[in-house]
Amino acid sequence: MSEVESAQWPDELVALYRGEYRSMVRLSASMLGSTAEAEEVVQDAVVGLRRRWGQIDAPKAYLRRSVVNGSVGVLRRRSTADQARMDPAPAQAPHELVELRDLLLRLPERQRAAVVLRFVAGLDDEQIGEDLGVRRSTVRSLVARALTTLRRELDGGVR
Amino acid sequence: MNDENLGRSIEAIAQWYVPGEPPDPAELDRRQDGAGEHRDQSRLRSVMLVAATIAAVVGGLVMVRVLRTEDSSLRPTTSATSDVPNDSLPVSSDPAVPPVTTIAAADPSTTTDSAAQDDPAREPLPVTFAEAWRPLASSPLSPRNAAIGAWTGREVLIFGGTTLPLCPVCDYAAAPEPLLDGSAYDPAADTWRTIAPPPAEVALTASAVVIGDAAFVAGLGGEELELWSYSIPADDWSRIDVPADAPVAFPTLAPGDRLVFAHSETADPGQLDYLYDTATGSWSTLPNSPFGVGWFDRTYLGVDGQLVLFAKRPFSDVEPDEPNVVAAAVLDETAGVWRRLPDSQQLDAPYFAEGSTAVNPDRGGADGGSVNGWGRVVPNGGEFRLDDETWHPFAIDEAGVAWQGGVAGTASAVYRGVQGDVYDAVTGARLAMPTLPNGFGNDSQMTIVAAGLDVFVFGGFDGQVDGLPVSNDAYLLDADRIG
Repeated sequence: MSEVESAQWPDELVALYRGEYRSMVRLSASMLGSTAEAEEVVQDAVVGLRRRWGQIDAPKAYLRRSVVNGSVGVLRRRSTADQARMDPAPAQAPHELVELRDLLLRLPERQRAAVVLRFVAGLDDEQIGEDLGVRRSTVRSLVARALTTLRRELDGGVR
Repeated sequence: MNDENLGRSIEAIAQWYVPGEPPDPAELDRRQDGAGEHRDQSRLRSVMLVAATIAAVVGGLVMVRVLRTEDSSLRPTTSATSDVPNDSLPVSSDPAVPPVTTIAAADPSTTTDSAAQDDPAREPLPVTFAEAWRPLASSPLSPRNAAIGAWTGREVLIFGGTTLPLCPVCDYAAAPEPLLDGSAYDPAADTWRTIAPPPAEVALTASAVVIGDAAFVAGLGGEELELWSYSIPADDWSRIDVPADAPVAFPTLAPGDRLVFAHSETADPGQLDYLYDTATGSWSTLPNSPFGVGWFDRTYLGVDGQLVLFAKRPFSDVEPDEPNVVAAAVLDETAGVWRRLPDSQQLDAPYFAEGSTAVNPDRGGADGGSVNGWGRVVPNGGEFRLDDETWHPFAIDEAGVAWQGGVAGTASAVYRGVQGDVYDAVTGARLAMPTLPNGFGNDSQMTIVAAGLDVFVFGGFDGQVDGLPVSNDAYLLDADRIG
């Protein structure tokens, strides 16, 4: 990084950005099904974090929340043409996983976000509740409903 | 089914998404300045595309939707592949869901008679299958699923596998356990012999390539590449030292008794693919390819003594109303540079070479669906002829949506399933395999090995029976080229 950039971007922010970038992109991509869109979301979130830098107590949590919010925003803005830009599954992926990915991407936004935060980000109910702005009981409900949906749909094709 | 399995599967799916390097902060600043304009243009493009789609439907344009066999949901989870085991985005490192890949070596006992094949006056002989599968002698191996297999030219090596089907959404009381023993089957004598067990590290998520009198085994799942060698005459395993930054990948056979270990996607410009020379035990890196950051589905194939790289463009470079067709480049090893070849008009990369022709035998195609229809059906498979650098995609036919059985060359083959047809790369004919006596299909996670042209299958699970019992049945389908 150049000196000019260093002057503009606090080192701590740059370290956070570089350290969390990939995991945040995977988090967003798990919601969106698109790495390219997820990268845009994360980059926007980092730019937003930079604007608020110094005013935020927990930058990492703020960044994650921004990424989740940004991802939901993309889902809401998404046109049918955008949906078709989702990443294809790996060619050798077991079809059960491909089916699960497709089902995951059809879950309602909040259920999808809750499940991704639980299993991709590894957060507990309380952290998920903070990110989504809901109570822990609501998180449990969201995750349970999502898993029930996934199980039910998968049971139709996989024993 | 339990939530833990479901959660692990969701976590595994997240690994399919491979981000690039984070852009420099200064680049983010620049993008931010132009973001408003870009978003407006993007939104306008989307609106226009939807409008065009609506207009097409209203105008009575009927688009036939053809399922893409690129869609992995159509693919058998146990397909045995050959020279392109790493033809995907990075596959889950979750040991519960490894891909099963099996490498077929050419049969040295039936060396290609190149002169005869090149004689235009001599009609090529078509490959033919026996009418039925032949049950083989009982295996000393316990029932198992997804074992690793390889053809040595005389025997089929079988080792590893798991006790239960690899099913991330099944409700198991216990997780599938890796098996470590191995055995070799001699089709000439219909006998099995026990071989030295592989190290635990190669028991799962691996594939094997036979070169000379050794099988080289590597796979996914670890943080670093692990490469093992099994000496067939010495019946002994040894670990091969690997460069620290070699990609974790399946081995791909390259010209000159070498193995390629390749990144499935170009994540950064400095990323290198590696060659391992099995004769000298030395490693080298391949020159950077013309396919830059974001190119994916990178697969290598040895074609007529040359190394060819196939890849697909980054999504951001492909308009949604255009197909992402396979691109190619060939390596000039003397000069150490890649030369870009013409782009294909097919969706899937070749994975088998017969002489100077590279083949992807898959039939069918895709039209981009009803949303971003491409205005035409683009074939999945076809041939690329390196001698005149021309692509010859297969014609589309309605029967071509089924998963394919693989491709047979003069003396070697790659079989990816036991259902669907097999493409004869010598004559261009297609022929069907008979149904297996145990009824197993492509989703049975059995081990499939091309033993020369013959098809050998072992193990797998019975998807029609509750409990999904695994098997240690072995069958062989005789294949020949006869007039």
